[in-house]
Amino acid sequence: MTARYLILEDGSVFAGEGFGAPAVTFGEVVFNTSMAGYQEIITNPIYDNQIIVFTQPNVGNVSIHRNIYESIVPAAKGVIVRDLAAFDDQHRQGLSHYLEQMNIPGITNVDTRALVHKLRAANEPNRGSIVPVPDDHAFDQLHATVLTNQQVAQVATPKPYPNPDVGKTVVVVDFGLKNGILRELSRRKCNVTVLPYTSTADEIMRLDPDGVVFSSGPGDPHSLKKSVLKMILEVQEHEVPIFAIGLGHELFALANGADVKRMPVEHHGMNHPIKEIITDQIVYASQSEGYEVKRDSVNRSNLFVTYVDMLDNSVQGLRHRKYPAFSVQFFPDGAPGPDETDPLFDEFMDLMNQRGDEALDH
Amino acid sequence: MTTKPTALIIGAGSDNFQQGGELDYATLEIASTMKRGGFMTVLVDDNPFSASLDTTEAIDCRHVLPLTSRSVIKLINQYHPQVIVPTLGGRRAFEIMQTVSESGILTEQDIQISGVPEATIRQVNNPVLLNQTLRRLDAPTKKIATFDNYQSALEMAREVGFPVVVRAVFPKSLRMRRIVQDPDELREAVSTGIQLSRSGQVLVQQSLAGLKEIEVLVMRDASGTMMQLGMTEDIDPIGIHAGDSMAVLPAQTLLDREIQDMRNTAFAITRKLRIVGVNHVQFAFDAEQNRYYVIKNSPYFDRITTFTELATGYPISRVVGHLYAGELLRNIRLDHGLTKHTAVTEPVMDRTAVRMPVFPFNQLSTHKLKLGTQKKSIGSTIGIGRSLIEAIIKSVADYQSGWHNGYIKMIQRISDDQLDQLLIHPEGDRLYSLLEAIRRGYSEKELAELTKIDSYYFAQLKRLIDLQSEILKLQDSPVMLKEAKYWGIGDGKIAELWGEETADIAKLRDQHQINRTFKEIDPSAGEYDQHTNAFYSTFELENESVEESNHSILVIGSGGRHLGNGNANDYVVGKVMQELKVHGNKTILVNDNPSSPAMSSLYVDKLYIEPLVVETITDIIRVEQPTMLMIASNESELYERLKEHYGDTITLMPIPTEDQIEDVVSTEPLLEYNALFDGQYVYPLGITAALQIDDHMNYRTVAKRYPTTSSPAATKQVTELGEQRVRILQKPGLYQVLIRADEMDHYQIEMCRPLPATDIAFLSKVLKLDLPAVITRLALNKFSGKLLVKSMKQQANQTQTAVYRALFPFSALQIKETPTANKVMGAEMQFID
Repeated sequence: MTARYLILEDGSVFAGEGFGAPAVTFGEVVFNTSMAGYQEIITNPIYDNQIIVFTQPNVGNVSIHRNIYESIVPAAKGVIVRDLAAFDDQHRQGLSHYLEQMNIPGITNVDTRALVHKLRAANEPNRGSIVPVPDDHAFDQLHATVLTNQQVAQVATPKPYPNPDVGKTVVVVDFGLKNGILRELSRRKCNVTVLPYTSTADEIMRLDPDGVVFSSGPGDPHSLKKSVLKMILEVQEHEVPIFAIGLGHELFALANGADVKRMPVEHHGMNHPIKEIITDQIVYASQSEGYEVKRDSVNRSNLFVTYVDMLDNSVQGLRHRKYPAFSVQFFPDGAPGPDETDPLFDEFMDLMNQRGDEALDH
Repeated sequence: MTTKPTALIIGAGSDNFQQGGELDYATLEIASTMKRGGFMTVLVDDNPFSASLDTTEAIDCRHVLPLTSRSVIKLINQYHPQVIVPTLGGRRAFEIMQTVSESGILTEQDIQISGVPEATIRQVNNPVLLNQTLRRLDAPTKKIATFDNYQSALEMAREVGFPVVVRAVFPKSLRMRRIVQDPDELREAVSTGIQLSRSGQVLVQQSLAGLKEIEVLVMRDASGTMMQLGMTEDIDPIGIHAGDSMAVLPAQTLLDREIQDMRNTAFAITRKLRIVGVNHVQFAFDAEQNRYYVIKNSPYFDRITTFTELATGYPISRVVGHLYAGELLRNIRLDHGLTKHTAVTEPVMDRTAVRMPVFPFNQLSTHKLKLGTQKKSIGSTIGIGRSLIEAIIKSVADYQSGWHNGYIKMIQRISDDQLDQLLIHPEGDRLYSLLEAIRRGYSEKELAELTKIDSYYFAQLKRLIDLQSEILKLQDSPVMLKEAKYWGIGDGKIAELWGEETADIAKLRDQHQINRTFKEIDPSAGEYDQHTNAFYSTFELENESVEESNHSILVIGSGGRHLGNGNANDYVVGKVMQELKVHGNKTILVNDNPSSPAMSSLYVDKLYIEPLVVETITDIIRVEQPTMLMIASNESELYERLKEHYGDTITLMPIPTEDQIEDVVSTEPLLEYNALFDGQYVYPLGITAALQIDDHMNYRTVAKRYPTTSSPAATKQVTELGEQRVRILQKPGLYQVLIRADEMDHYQIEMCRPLPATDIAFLSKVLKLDLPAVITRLALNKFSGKLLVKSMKQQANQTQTAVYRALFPFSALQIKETPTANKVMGAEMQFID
């Protein structure tokens, strides 16, 4: 292995050894405290434009598995670990080989704890670059680089595609979908059509869906065109059940008049206690968030808060007072992460079933 | 008027194979938390080495009584407690609890059981009941069925897959248990079993041998909030007792999907059993079939709870203390620099912890070293590092065990066939046979087949072996040295490979500034700025440990538990630190025993979980600049080395935990004159009589009693003899003079020695005198003889006789040996009128 460096905008340099692809990349540096599930994390499109630091020191212990991808082409810009736990087996693909194929650089033997201490103390996201030589040129490049805010466009599908089954008809609007959402819908036999995030309400409703999912995805919800918010409001007015997740949740909040703000330090992990307000129960879920809905901006006449993160008090769930629409900031599909909030998909199914019953009544 | 609610805690009794120290540790933490929460705490125990019994910060009222339901009922009637805590006394406490509960007294007096409902206790005590519950939950358990013919037995065997275990139902005379691999063997076993069975039936059960063993620790509160505290993976497969297996936290070879499935099942069981506190659920995981089975459920404290607590930094015991005091996870506020909601945040790790079993074989003359389903280890060490390799190396770095015990040299000489046998039928120091096999070029796949250990671990061990050969090639290379230290290789090993002295390596490190850095063990993996004041070391960029205080004393613990003194060592070390704190010192402990009660927050201000080796301690001294260095004296090699280093600069004090090398057991009564010598005066601490009772059974005991039954004249004579002997000594300390009467009834001195740790613990309880505090004051020059004399005068009025009975590991290991003091595993004590 050869020396590779992670450099940060503030001038700091973290040395290690390169693995994966020898590419030079730029991105926001974020850390994830999950202790397993590296493949699901790396392939989650939410990491578009981001370099992932794993706090779990040994990463790559298990091989790449064919049935746990969260997207086909991972969008992450780099992987930083303390110990790439490589194994030598021709029959199984390891992390390094996988990243090499996907043209993503990795650095191992990094003091990731020191790095996390730096990242957690920041007031705004740290931008960094993975480079072969940490010289002035590399820093100039880093300072000159403007990271795109068109992340959703980079990872979301440009074309509709179906995922047929025999149950409820669901439209998933793709803002950077992770496969877990499709997996959960498929487990419930939903007849899914995935539409691009640029779709209009008409295009969505033309498919006569029983329910609509606004998917998770990367980046700043403000960077999307206002037409997206308009689309959400229009779909909502059709009284079709809506389930919004992650970025979808942030957009759902914006569409309904709430504000969304950047968190000084992004939160990626699965260990925070999340309180469900109505039942007063505490659950744990996979979380990956750089933005949060401002709690005091939630218009109580049309929305109410359903879940709150007990550690940072961030809004983790919303429900509409008038329409059958609800949203969560976390990933109820896990992958990786606990299954405790998986019943939210059943709740969505219930909403769709109720609506079906009402339709019959009329 | 309001009276304090009372909590009655059932103790764990003598240390044995199943437990040793960890329950004492948890008792200290839980009881002190409950006490701070407004409870009066009462503990019943008969373990003379128990630190909890003698720590008033944790226990208000102590009762040395036999651990029976009768004692518990007696105390219930005395105290009318609001709650009884049965989760700190292992399995036996659950059995006692069931009997007590069946007596009706709990309903009568409206007493709650902490941690588990009554129905759960019954289920945990009865595997058949528990299995029914698990089935109702659809929790996967191993298949088991009875048959009276071969054909149907074969159908089941085909369904679950060979091998299966065949046993005779209600055997006539011989018990039969066979593992069969194919239909032919099954036919034979079924036919034999049917013949042997009174009912003409055989029991066929799925064999889980060879599967991975996963241990999940769940926390639940009364409102139903549940969290996963840790998932430990045993490196050795099922078939080797989990306590004898090398274990890693967090689990290393599982996919997230598999982790979540086992988490869900563990949660479902914990919810169903309505547990408040911890539940330890063990799984067998079949990686090939992607199936898992629940094999054991233990809703009480055990080795995994303390290991998880130390490795994660999440204060499990203290949190459970809050839960037992009636709080909910979401409302618990932990002190000591932790953030507001740490109690309800699942711990995450940015480190890897390895638990390495410590076997007693080198202390016994047994040849039965094979590991199996019966636990044979008596203690363990913990290694924490930033890579699995580093954690493993640190777990075996102690001079008392591991690399230093000569086993590795022995194993290099055995033949390939012998090595194969060791791989298939492992013995105590399994790690070394694995390393040797890799050194000889066995492939990872081959090793995985022979040992049923995941090939991931062989890949890691191979990196270590490769690294060692690289080191060998590059003598004195600073780059190589840096690399070696980065992966955790000790100076001693590098010196051995380079044919140099350990000190040379340290010098080279200094020269090239290859510095040890300390990382804090925080339960959020660095996400939050919070502090546990527990550290481990590695060789990275950032150091997080700074000097604790200019009044600190560095205490070196006594390491993993071994036969002889066992937890009496931890008793002495812990109690010494407690006294050091009383005198305004900050106590800093270095230790590597994950079950040591000495690590309790009541004794320790700052903790380093590190192997007890000179290079680490030297670096800790550099950070802490302690005013004094105290060392458990059983670590004799370490003591000598540190004396060489620091003899002139820092005050070096041994804490008396010497091994009892001498065989003091005889069939003749032996009198022990105990005394404290402060350099000028001899303060007598009474005479104990040591006896060996050979009852011609497998189970032998060594007993002591206090006071002796000697005549006043004899007592006077022995006292004079002993006093004369002690007076001529140079060093102040606690001493014991062994005196025996000859045929003419003349008393003769056999020897004079420092008072062993076991006797310090026993006598402290008998005399109700804090002997560790006394020696601490001596060390600090704060000793006053007056108090001691006063205390001993009160002894004269005591009418009770105290009896001490040592327990040995022989019957559990199914071996016969002469019981000698250096093979003591634990002890019981009693007061008789």
